[in-house]
Amino acid sequence: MSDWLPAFWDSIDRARLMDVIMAALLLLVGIILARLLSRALVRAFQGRLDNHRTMLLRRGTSYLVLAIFISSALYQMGFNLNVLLGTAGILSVAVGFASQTSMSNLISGLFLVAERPFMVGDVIQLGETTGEVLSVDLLSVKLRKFDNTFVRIPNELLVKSQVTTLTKFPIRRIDIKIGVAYHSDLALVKELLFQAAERNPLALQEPRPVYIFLGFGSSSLDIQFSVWATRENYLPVLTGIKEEIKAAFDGAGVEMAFPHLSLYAGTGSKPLPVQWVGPPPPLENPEEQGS
Amino acid sequence: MSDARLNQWWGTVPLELNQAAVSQIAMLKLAASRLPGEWRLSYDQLDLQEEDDLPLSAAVVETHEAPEYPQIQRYVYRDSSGPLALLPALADRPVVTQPFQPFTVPAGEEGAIFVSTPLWVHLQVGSPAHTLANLPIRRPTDTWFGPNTMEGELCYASRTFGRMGLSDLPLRPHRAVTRVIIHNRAASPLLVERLSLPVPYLSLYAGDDARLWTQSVSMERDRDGAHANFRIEKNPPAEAPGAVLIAGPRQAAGDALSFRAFGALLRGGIWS
Repeated sequence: MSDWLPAFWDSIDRARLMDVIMAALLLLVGIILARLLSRALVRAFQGRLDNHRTMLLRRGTSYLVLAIFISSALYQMGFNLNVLLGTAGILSVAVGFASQTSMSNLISGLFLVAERPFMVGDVIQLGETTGEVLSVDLLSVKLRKFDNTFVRIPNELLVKSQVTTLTKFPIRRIDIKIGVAYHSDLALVKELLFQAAERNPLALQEPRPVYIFLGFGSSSLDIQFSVWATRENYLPVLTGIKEEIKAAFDGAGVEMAFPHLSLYAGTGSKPLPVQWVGPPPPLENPEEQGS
Repeated sequence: MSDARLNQWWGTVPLELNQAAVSQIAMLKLAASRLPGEWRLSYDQLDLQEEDDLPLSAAVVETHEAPEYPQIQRYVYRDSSGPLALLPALADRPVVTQPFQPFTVPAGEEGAIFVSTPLWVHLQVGSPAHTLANLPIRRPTDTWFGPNTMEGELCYASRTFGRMGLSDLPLRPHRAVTRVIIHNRAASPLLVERLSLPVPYLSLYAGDDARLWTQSVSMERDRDGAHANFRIEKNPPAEAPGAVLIAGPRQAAGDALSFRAFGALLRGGIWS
């Protein structure tokens, strides 16, 4: 047993062992340096970058440093890096084809971070989906819809299509479409609408509410009345002002129109047939039958 | 206007346990009750459209039979010791006032108007006094003041309009009066349709007649016509005889402030 060890020791190539130990040391130093450097950089940029960019910086730095030290370690071990680079080149083409979508999402994500059309906390609308932005990640943006469901939107989609940021500016306009009956007094309607807006303290006095007579609809006179509110008060004003308008209309006897059709038989056509469903009501004056 | 005095509605009231202070300040009815371990506040705001017919306020009354108004706020304390202080306070945002008829200040001229801004009731309890609540006597309407709908600030809109003469000013217990002097140093006339008063920088004074005042404010439109500078006078106004300081400004400021004081005038109507 004891003769086995010196024989083993002699069979090891000292130079080779040194190389392996050097490589291992390089790797260790690389790992430690990568961690230290990335932490130092993050601390230096602490206040100036948001979470997203901080993470990118941290990961980017540590991968870069690690890559340098790994390739040094491999070179130390005697690997020919040219072969490695060649293989890496072919591999990256293959990976590129396979991960087109992911790469597209990644690049789109970088553009979104640079352009900043919305931030975490904003409410955005993409097509039919409206929600609050929870995070802007590498490949996707996460939303919370108002019914508390979670939506993941790939970044590529956000860069390709039209995204509406509802909370970009501090105030928003609320458009209310109203239809009043054809026989209504429009001057009275206008006065009631402006009074309802004035009575609501959350509806901004300026910018002034907008009254637009849209036109003569098929069942009603169509009006658009728009009031402004701060984005925080959007929902209370949206509901409150409509209720106040309804109450004001009811109080003044203004009829809000609903779709209806009038049937005209015309003088040249036959009368419309009518059928009693139950027994016919008794005539008031029995002598005037057939009138 | 008559020689009527306003009743002073503010002051300090020592309350025993289970006693309440009841007050009416213009359209605000208020009852503050001192209960074991609790201060209970109940209030109601009357929805009055005609402000000039308001009853002048009554002084605070102490009673064991406090009315219970619709809005209730409860504050829990280990020891609900008095006294209760009711103080008037100015608005916490700038106030945009519109003269009932816009007026023009010709080039090189100056004019003075009186504007009034809404007041809050600041309730304090205990010794040393600390704030219990801040209630608006009448919740003013929000409004936006700025060059466009993307930038600007949220202000309150004042429903009353500027008057030129002191004798035209109705006595109102729930509003503070400010004398605004407008200097037009530019070469073109200045049409004043609305102005934004930097209320958070003003102090509140009470005159002998219990009318509430702030310092006078002068607004100067400079030669290039694009900017307006404010100056807030240090002392109480001359129109308020024997004025006593009630409250300091909510925000400290330097003497001359450059603001967008005149709104849409300087850039030509933006509201569409």
